[in-house]
Amino acid sequence: MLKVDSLSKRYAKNQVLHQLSFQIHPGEIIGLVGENGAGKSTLLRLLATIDSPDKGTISLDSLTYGKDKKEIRKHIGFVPQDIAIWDELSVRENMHFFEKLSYQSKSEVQLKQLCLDMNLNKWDEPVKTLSGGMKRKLNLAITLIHDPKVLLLDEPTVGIDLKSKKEIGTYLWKQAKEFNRIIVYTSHDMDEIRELCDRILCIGNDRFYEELLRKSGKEIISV
Amino acid sequence: MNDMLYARFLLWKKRPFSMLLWLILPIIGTILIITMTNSIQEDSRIPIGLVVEDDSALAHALMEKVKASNLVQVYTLTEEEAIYQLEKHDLDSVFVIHDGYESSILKGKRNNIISSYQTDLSLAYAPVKEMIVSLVQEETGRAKAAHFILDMNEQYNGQASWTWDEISEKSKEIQQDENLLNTAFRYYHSEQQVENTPLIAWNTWGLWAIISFITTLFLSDWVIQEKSMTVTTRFSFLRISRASYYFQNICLYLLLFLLFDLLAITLFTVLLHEFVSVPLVIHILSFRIMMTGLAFSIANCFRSKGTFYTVTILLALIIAIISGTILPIEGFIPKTRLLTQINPLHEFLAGKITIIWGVISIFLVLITLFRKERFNA
Repeated sequence: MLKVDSLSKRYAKNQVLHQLSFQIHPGEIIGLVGENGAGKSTLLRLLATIDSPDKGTISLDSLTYGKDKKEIRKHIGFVPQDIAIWDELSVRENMHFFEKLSYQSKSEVQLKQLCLDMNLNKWDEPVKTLSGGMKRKLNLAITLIHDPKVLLLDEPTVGIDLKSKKEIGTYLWKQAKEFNRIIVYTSHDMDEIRELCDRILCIGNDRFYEELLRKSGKEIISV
Repeated sequence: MNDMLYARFLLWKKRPFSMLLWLILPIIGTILIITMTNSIQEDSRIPIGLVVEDDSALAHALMEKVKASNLVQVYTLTEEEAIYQLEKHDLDSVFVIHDGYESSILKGKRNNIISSYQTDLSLAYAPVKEMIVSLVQEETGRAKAAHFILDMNEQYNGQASWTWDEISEKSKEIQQDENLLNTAFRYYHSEQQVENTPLIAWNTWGLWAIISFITTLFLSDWVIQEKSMTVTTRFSFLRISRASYYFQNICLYLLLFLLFDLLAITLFTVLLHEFVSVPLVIHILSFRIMMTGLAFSIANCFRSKGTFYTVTILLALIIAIISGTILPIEGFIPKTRLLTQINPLHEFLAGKITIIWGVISIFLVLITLFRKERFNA
């Protein structure tokens, strides 16, 4: 279980997060919504151990952030908003590059299967020739090489076609439900959020998103 | 390290030509420049004809001495051929060592032992003649001295039983040991002897070091490329830390450079007849460790590859000039202690182990890695 307790973060005079508390259970998908600058990416960076909170605690099962940072990072998969892959390498080479430096070893068959599960079948194609959707899928596949317990995604479907969005959504849903992964997901696409997420975390003072999502029938946490 | 090698190799093989070009450029560049320089120097020698009528040891010794001179290109011909080529102006002048040259020298006679031919286009006749005359006078002087010693021994009933050859050999030994024919120059008010620097002072390893300086920096552009890529956000979630990633990559590049340095040593020995020794190998090793670390640290200061390349070329030019590797600068710029110390290539060019800049380079790498690690923690 991922537990966030009284989390606060400030950048200079700007209080981005204030006394934020919530819990996420394995197998849950949490949607993170809010206007630009509300603190979605900040929260993801804190959950990913890339940044440290000013106040409050975060824990993953029995591990505490800060104290067990190295151990926690083994269980975290972070998909940055920008596509973090080697453009000059092929899909296959990208998977092998990160597998070699990953906490977990995987065979070529397993790596290929990770891609095929998302309909990423251009195994030997150079990344620079792939569509935006395919690149997003590879971006996600690389993150899953070490089988993380927690998957943190910063707008993973931004700028891609509807079909690819659906494929990624279906894949994430399977990852949560079949492999009991915790998924925290930011997006500006409310249909996607409604469809995919079990609970929705609305960040910021603006109640616009809360009102918009109220009819979805999903549990909304406002902070 | 094996995993990192595999990962790095995936990236290396995407740009094999540029990698190979920068790796072999110091070798190819040095060989080409040295060969061309030698060729130009060879072509600028004065062509002279030498006719050796006397089949004696002294005549042949004189011929070898003339041939050993950097001033002339000697063609050994018959008198008829030599004159024919002189008439065609293929030769600047012709010198004939007459039959009986050795016996005349041994008798101390100096007249009509060598004849010469020149034309109205024999521009270098005078200096070549002077050189040959001085060589002959060296031998006649030696012969005269030997005769004088033998005569004295006989006249005063000396007990020593020296032969003419022994006296001559001893004279050559003394000439060698005492440097009788060399002159040491000093500047006014200076105790330091000025080295006899040739006009073109390019030496093989000096030239190689300058080209290697540029190419090592060029090959370190991966640091600029990778630190600006979003792919680095993944480092936090990999088995190895960012510092370890960079450190292992520096080691891999160092090994790659050393592999090509080994090739350089082999090729320079075979093609340029450079002498290989254990100290030289140690100097190259220390130079390479310094250079790889320094290149990483410099590259890490840049965000744009274009600016980095420009600065690299400027730095290489400055270092080449203050090193005196390409141009002898002693006459133009006083070699101050500061100029020597700020030059990372100085110790290598001076035939020493690169210690000072080696330590600086390792220190800079550690600072860079430590700062990076803290920044991204």
